[in-house]
Amino acid sequence: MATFLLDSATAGTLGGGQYRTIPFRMTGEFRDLQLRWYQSVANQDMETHYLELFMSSTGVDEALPA
Amino acid sequence: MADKLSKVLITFAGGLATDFGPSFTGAPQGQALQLPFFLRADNVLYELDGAPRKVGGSSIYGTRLDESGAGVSVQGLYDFWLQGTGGTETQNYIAYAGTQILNSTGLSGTWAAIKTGLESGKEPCFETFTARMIWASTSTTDVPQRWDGVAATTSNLGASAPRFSFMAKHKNLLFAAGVATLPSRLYFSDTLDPTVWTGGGSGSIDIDPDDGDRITGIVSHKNELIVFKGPNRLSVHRITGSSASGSDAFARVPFVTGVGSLNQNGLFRINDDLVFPSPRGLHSLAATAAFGDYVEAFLARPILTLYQDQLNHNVINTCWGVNYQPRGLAIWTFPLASGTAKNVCLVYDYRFQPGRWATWGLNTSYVNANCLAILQSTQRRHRLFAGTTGGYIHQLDVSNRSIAGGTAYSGDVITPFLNFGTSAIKKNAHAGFWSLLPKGAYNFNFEYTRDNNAAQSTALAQGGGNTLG
Repeated sequence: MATFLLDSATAGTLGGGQYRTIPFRMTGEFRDLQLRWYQSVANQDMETHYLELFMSSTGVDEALPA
Repeated sequence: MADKLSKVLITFAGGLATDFGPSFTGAPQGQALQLPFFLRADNVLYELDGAPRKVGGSSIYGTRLDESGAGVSVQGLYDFWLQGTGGTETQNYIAYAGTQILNSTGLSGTWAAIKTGLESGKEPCFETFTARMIWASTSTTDVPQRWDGVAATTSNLGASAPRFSFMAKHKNLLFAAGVATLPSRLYFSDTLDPTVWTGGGSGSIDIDPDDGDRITGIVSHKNELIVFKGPNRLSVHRITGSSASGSDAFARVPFVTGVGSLNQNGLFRINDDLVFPSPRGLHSLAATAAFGDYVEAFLARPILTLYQDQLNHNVINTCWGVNYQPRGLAIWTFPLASGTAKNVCLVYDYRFQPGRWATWGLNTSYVNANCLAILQSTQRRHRLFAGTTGGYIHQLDVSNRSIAGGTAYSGDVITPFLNFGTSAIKKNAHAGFWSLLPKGAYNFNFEYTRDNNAAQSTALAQGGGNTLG
């Protein structure tokens, strides 16, 4: 993998490597879904552009009140 | 029985909005879902496709500003340029810190006092006019100062100068206001002579005296001087004309009541517009036609609850704002309700229409910006600077993602709850794909929360592999 660089405002260059898509697994049923992403480590950056989610429908929730 | 897998592509079509509720019920259109707002967008900037990115960290300019061995509060910063007559410019950074005005010449990083013995902790104002740096503050004992960039110390502005708090040049005159004894009086100096305030072309205009407000801000804008009053009943006035008397004499045109600026230092220009803080929120005063009329717009509508409930309104009139043009950002620094330190920046990206909000320092600490300024730094680039109450001057938004070279902060984004068109149908999450510009051989954290379950978290390597992890 190529060496990564931070953006250089002085040099006017963008850091980072090749634009890429990172896959990950998800599990569990839901009706509503909230997303969070963060980068909390010193001198570590984050630039997220878009997200694709794959899901299936399991039908109308039957856990209805009696 | 489960349907086949369906794909939803989520893009980012809005900024921080605390007042749109906790959920977004839009259904994907053509398998794409444009997310119209975030519930949290802290310590981030936006790329022009809407992508949030962790804002740059900070580096410290020069040494700590001390008095008696202790750091003092940096109350204001200014970039003072002189053209001279020899074709060579000179630059001085100016700081008002503790009881002193200091200068730092030519990006040297060293500071020297050019005025001592001032009241500390006041709100300053700076202006350049007739080859002088002019300084005033909200002190009721200190008098306005002038400095020519050469003398060892500043001088009192002039024997006839009123003890004003802020000023703005307009049509070869220096206008000033904020005199405690005459809080609704707008003063102007003699033509091209800010040392003379009686006789000549000087004079004053009373703006609705004793109406329960004082003049809080003035700015030259589109051939007029715009005068703001507050902080109670609030109003905006226009001063037309060019001189104290004659065929184009100054005249006051009341513009609007019920909105006005909290102070001078939160009032500034972006593009063709003025933006300012009021007790209600953050506003703009857009000219609707050349010198014709204005319309007031409420920029802070999506974050009104944050503005009203999470800021310390007892000291909100000490806020600073700047136009950070290299990023297309209007930035204000405010104290959260829990204290008086200005520890959160409200950031408005005006490259978008409508603009998009973010915060710096709301959920995790960023730099406590007691004051803000745009200063030309190396290679004549206009950079964002902040002074702190501890005597430090930070350049913000630098390439390193740490505060002063070492302290971590968190770029953090939370979406509203998404039901993808219906909450009645249960969905089963299978996989996701983050598309990003990797910034290093390290992780970022992704969480998803299903209904009222605990968040599920995964650390994703930015240089990640090509298979599902």
